[in-house]
Amino acid sequence: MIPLPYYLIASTALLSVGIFGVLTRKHVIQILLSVELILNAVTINFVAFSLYIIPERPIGQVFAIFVITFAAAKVGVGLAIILAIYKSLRTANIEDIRLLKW
Amino acid sequence: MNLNLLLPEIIVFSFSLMVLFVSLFWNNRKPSLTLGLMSIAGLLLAIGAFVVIPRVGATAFGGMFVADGFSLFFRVLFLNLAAMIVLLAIDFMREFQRHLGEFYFLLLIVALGAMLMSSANDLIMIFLALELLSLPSYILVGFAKRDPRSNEAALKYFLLGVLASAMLLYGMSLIFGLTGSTGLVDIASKFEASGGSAGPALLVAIIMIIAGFGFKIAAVPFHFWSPDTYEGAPTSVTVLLATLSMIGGFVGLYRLFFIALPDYLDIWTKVIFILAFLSMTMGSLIAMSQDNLKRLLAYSGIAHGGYILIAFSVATFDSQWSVLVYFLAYIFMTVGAFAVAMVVERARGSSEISALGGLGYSNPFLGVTMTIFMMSLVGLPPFAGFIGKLYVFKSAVEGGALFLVLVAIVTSVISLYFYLKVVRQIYFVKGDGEAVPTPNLSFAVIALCAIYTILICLYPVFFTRIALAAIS
Repeated sequence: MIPLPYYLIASTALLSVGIFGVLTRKHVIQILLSVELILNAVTINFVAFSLYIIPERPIGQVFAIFVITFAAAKVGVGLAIILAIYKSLRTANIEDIRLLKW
Repeated sequence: MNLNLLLPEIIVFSFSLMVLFVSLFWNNRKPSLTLGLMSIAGLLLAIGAFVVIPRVGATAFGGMFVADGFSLFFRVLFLNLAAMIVLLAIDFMREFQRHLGEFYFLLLIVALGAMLMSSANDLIMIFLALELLSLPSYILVGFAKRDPRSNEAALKYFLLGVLASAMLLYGMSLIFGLTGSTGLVDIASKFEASGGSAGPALLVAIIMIIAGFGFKIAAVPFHFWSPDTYEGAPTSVTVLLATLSMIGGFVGLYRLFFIALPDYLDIWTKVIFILAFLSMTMGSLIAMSQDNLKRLLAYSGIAHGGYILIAFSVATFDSQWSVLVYFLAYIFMTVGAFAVAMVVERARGSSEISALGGLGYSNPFLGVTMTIFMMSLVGLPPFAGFIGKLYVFKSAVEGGALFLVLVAIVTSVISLYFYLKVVRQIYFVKGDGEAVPTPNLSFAVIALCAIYTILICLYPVFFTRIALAAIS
């Protein structure tokens, strides 16, 4: 069996890539995908911890399913908002979306 | 299983579905009024349901849902708050002829999420309640879908919101990894049994969870969405964000930290200390340069979030009940201020502070009540804001957070400047002199908020007794 630290390293790497993506990407869809990477890191964490720490009760796996469901719901709401903004501004680049500013 | 306990939630949920179906099949001439009154009926029925359910100490869903004094306080509070927001929305959603069913449906779901949050006793439950609170509010912010400003507000809120949720989840996954449990009480006992010092994993988890909730409560440095979103969203949604959604975040923070992590009090209070300091100073300083009333109220909300966080960072028994009094005061003065802003915005077509010009002469009622709310937000007696601040600061001094209290007093003095800017506009600037029509329902809400704002200061004992009962 692959030891637990390997999973954690993979999930931390995904988290870092995700945060890096959120901070550097300019297109809204790319930012959304980066957040998706963070959520995948979370899922890996939950499933791995569930398997290695309490193998007799699959709480972590249940939580992982909730996370996946949330990710799907989030994409649904997000794409609707992006569509609405694309219709009104004809762009989905966050640098061009700046009507509101102090 | 004790499904009885969830009776108020079940009622709110059934009414939200009913509103949605009625709006699909029944075309009438006043959709906003009909659907709004249905929502109010559901909320009032849910408040009534508290008479028949057992009061305290019961759990449901294998301990995931707990009905204690704290949850009772906040569930009733959120129901009342949602009723006030719906009352305000009835008048202001008239201009939206379509999709009103969805609007009230989502509003009730947000209230449901906040209620579940106050009874959550498990990481899964906290997460689900937070998303039930967040996902509908992303849609509500973008409700004016032909208005690019509303679109942009929704986009900013959504992107930062899902990032914050993802961070929160990562923190939760680490806590789950450290304890092997998701129940809050269980986590606390496992941490107590391990008894050791906090490792780096726990530190990361605490910081990530605070970042997740910090977004919801708009604490600096997680506040960047708040002014833009408040300004771009329809004002009936802004008031929801400033009260229901923000207090829902505080409730989640409270449950997670006070119940699951009391052993690491000295660590997370330090992080919250920084957040409180930054929120108070940045909120008050940036608010000074605002010309838009909704933006000003957004920064004012950030500063008030900072005052509330003082109580969290002190974390004594006294600070816990005094923060509940603060919530009561905050709700009435904020809803009142937004209600006046909505009435003026609807009539004069602008949410700039200059639109308030001469309001004190054209509409004496609105002028006087807005002055009351502004003075209360500053924290001057004899208004509710004074009592809220008094108790929180007193408990903080006793708890040894003298520095934070000094900062809070200085920022309160600074805040006097920008709140008075609004009052000056009402009384000392000539407007166009035309009276602003005040719809009856909004009038009732404004009057109610003004009465409570004064009442909380005149009879604080009544309200502190409620808060004490909720905590102990």
